[in-house]
Amino acid sequence: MDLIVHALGALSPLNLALALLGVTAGIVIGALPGLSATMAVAVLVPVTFGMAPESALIMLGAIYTGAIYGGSYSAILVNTPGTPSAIATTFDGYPMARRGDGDLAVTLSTIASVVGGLVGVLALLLLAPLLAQVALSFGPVEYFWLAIFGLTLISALSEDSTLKGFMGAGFGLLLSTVGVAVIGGDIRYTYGSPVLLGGIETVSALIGLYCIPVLIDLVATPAAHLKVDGVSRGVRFREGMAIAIKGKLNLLRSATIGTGVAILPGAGGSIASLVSYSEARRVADEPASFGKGNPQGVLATEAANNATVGGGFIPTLVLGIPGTPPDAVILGALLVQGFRTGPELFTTNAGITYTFVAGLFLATCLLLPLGLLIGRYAFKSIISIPKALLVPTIAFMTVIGTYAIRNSASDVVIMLCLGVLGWVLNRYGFRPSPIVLGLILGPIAEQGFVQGFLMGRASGSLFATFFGGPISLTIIALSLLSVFYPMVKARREARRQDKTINGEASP
Amino acid sequence: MRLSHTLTLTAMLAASTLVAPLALADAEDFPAKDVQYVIPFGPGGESDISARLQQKYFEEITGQQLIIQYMPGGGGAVGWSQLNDMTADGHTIMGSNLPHIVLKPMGKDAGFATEDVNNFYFFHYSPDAILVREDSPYQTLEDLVEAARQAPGVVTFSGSGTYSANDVANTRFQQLADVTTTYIPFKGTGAAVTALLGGQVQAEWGYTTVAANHQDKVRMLAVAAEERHPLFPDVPTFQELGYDMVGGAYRGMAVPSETPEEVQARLSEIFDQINQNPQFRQEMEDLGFVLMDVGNDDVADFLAEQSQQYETSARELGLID
Amino acid sequence: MSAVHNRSTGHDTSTGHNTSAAGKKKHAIQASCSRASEYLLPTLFVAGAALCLWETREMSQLGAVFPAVISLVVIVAGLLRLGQLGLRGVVANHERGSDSSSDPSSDSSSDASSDSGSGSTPRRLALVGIMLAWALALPWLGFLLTGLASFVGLMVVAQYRRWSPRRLAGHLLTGAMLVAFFYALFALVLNVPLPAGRWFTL
Repeated sequence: MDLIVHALGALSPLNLALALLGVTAGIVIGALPGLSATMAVAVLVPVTFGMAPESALIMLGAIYTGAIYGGSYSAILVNTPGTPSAIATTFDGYPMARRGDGDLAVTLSTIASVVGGLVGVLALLLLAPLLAQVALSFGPVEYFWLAIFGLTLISALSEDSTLKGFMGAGFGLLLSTVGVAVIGGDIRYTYGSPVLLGGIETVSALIGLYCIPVLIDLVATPAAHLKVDGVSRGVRFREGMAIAIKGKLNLLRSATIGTGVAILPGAGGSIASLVSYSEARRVADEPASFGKGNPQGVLATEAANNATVGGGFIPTLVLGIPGTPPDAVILGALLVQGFRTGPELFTTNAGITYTFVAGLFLATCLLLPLGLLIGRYAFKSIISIPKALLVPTIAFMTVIGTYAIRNSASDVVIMLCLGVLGWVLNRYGFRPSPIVLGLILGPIAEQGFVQGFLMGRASGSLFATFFGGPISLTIIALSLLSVFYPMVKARREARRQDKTINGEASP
Repeated sequence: MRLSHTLTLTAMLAASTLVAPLALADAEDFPAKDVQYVIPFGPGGESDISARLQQKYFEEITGQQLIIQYMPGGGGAVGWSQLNDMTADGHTIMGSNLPHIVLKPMGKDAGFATEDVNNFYFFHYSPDAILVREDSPYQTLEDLVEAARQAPGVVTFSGSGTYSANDVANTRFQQLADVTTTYIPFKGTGAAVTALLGGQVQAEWGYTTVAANHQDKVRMLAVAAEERHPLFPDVPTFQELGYDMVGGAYRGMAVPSETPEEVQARLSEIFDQINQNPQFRQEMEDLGFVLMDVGNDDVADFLAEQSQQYETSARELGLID
Repeated sequence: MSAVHNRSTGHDTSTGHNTSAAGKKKHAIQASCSRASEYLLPTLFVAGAALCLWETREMSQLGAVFPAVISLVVIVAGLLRLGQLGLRGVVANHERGSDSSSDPSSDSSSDASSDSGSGSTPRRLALVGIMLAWALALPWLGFLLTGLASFVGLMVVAQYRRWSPRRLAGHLLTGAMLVAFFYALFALVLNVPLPAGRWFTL
């Protein structure tokens, strides 16, 4: 009952307007590389101090939802994840755009984001206290195994040679150790440069590795950036819906994975979308078509990363432990406003919580019309803008975006160097994705491993620490499955093919 | 029409950015514009939250905004190593944390020296505290010490970072209580408390603020403050229990060293005024912070006194010899 | 941990190749570019990893374990790759020859015309050069000046058709507006302190 009352409260004209404004601003900020959801939310916080708490929460939720979704635009259209959560969207989104299906990819991303977002919000509403307990059962060892599970994606992401993938991922993992170590306090691989003390900033590395190679090849030829058929086909909504309905299991599974991973405070949106991508690929009939513009790949990652919005609020609101970096900012804003997290948020303070949930729900629904509208506009401008303007504009966004992350000009230089290196490596068959995978999973794997080691040494049994828990064993089993299943499947298929060939040949 | 408008705007912007720094900073009408407040950590941490609380009152007092920026990396080192390159007119200030600014430079290649951080005010600290889970068998600090004495190294503590306030506190406590524990560093207080709540460690080195935030789920065994915290009248201080420990994470503000003396004095005055605001005090205490007023004139003495203590701990940690 | 890693490395060597090479020539490995580069890059990776491994000596035990294990994995993967190349032989990739363009992460779209033929290397170098100069000059000349200058520079690099005065004027105007828009967005709305240029403030 309460819920309906509060939901209606959320629907006041002012709040609706704020949600609309928030989602729009979020989409724009999210679409610009370098401007992450965290930054969008952080900028808004002081503005919300002057508002009524309900309005403030609705606006924060709206801008967050919009930003996570907006990241898919640059991922699809210029191969650059606007936010780290959109990394996996580049895998299939950009190839789709290259072959002239950019509009369809944007529409799919919109549909998937709405579905994913709604699943996340529903989980937050109905299962929050229960799921929060799950978050706590994940300790350092479980995070370590989760990172290893993520690394099993290497073989899928390196089409050319798995060994090259391992070398690339190793390079990424080593890059992630640059700077001051959290455990041990060592200063590693900085070569005396204060610039490297803070480590390689993940988002600037993403911009460099994904976007700079696109720019380098864009200026090399007079050909258009994306293939265009010449006919305007609208937003291709019906086509998109048909694909989404065909992939409904994929959508639901990805949204569930997204929610599940977001509950874990150490993981976050990038891992959620990577895991759901690898699952979608593993289950698919033709895993080989992933990474080459398979629409299901876009559906999987976008459903997962928008599900992290609702999912991430579960530990944030119930335990006071932020699930994702933007949650940390919103939690800080709540504390400053005088709210306390915990079970009271679902009992005595339920009003605030339900208004917030209703606001998230509203923002997610607004994604559909706004996303289709803005997405269509973004797609049209990318294909119609002449190359002589497109190149400097993208370059400008990469530089200003990288600079803005830490207000650091040195990060821009690092971004460029990684970009050139990425271009060279890619030319010789080392794809950027395993490198990025290593960079993102490195800290989780390292901290989980060393913490687990310290815990195991204290308890006297390293083996029991690493292989004792049911969750650890489950993740290990999943990792093994993810490595061996495609091989078993390929072998079976090869045998079947042999049979049919023989069968045809014999009579 | 719109185009010419945009161009004029651009021209004005260009002009203002070029001219503004040339205007002489005058303490009388300081601040003349918004003040950038750089936090050398990421958003959502305690440095961020306490700065956000100051934000509102700063605007009330000066009529200018306090704009919070983040420059995370290297446990603060990225920010502090760049502090003296920033505009030295008082309109750029940076959060400053103890023991970080003393302990970091003791390692190699920290990128800055303690003296490079020109502090003008320290406004609060979060006292160190030992926390256990609500359902933990350790009811008192003595229970925990006893357990650690029985089986050296088996009792595990989570905490935030290596060579951090938590690490120093743990080293000092091991020595005072003559026990051996296992300290497991995590990335940030949030991760450390998650490990405690999840039962991965038996206890946590945290702060009163952590206990305030998770009141229903944790029990605080002792606080490293001079007197009991108003939020937790039943929790004894370490001194009451016979361990001479007072300390925690101190937070203040610094400016580039070229900043004119009068401006520094004025800044110190503004933040002192914020610190005296009863509403601000209440909000800070509700979150578990302990306020302190170390103004521009006393900062040097305060730092000298603290540094001496940290040096002793650093020697024990093996950071210096 | 190293055991787990090595085992999976070892395994993928044999199988990852069967799948990727299936359908193509079973024996010789198709190089991404020239034959020599196929040998050179793994060698460089091994050398780099060996350097990283060497540097872990000076780290504490807790800080060294992870980089050391990863370096070892890279070395093992690199050596395995070299062995694989030696055993099976390499065929140079003539389509991509020594001076052709490679398209990041999307071999699928090989029908797009930008993949075929050799791209312009001078233009590529010019792009990287301009962007590098931009990044280095940023703290000194300020955001607006460097932004406008490199915008114009990149515009020239990316232009293939001839400039007509009208087109040039139109592009320049749009460029100025875009720079102004982003500047306003970042500096005014998002409060990012963009560098004003040290040369002007000294």
